Amino acid sequence: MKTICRTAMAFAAVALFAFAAQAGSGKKGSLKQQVVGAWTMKSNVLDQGGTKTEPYGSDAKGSVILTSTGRVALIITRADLPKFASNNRTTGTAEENKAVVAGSIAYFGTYTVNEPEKLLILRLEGGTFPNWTGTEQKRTLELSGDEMKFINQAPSMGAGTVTVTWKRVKEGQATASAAQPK
Amino acid sequence: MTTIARAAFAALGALTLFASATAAGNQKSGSLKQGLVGTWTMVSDTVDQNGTKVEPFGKTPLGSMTLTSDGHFSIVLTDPDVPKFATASRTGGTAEENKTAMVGSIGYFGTYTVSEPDKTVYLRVVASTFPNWRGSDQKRVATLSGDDLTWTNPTPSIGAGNATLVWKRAKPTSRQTAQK
Repeated sequence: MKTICRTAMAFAAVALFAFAAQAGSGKKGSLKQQVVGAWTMKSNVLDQGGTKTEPYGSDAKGSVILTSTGRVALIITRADLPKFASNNRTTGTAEENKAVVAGSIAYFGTYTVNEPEKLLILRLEGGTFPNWTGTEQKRTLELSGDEMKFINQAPSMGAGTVTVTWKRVKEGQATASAAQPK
Repeated sequence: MTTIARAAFAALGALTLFASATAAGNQKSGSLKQGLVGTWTMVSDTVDQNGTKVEPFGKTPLGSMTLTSDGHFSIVLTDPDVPKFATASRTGGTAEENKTAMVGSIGYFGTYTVSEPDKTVYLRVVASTFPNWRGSDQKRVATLSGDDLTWTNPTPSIGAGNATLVWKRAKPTSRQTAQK
């Protein structure tokens, strides 16, 4: 019995160690490992020579998903974009179209992480701002636990530096609030 | 048997259970929900308006959809033929540039759930580049066959009609291996 107990304890110790190592690697490993997941935007601040503005407003909505397979999808919008009177995306007035194009961006593509330079390199395949389609974009990454910052020196609104702050979406958070009318 | 040994047995049992539960969660052949999780590339988008077929993002649309295992989604659809803005600034487009960009693209994100019996995906849209969809609840009927997915949308953003979107599961990127 003693031998069995010892063997079991040895197994358990090894298994616990392996499990702890695996659990730890997701959080404290490479930048690539840390960026993977779904993130919600907390703030988006444009600094133009010391003057700070929030191009999407103070309550902007944003999401970025970075998959473990190397894909990225990002969407940012103002929270107060006016609804189209026609309820049809293709028949907006000049004012409605302008409000959306100036007040939102969405794109997708692939990404890699340059670990030594802490750079997120995006290769955009498509998006709502045609000038960015097919381009390579660089964001300086800052990561601290469940908070991530993208620093963009060449923002889509022209001159300045944009700092986007993201908060990691907690596992299971979505399911609790998801909609399923029944 | 000592208390430590009992604890060790318990820990071993718990780990075994955890490991098998994780493995079960990863399988592709299970529920529709499990099959949908991942990234999808759009193959086509056709809207049937009383028999007239329209391709809202052109003949070679570019689109991406990601559904995460924890219930988040992100969808971006674009027409690659939308002309670039003459200015490098997104906020400085002409009326014509803004219109073609608006007509030729959409992006939206939020949370989702799946109803297995009626093969329906319920989307709760948090925000969208089409403002009318912000805060809306939408449904898509999904037909999944391996790496091919077809889903229909009875309320497309171009007004009347029924949209059918065909998706292909995105392959892992080759660039991943090239990273430093």
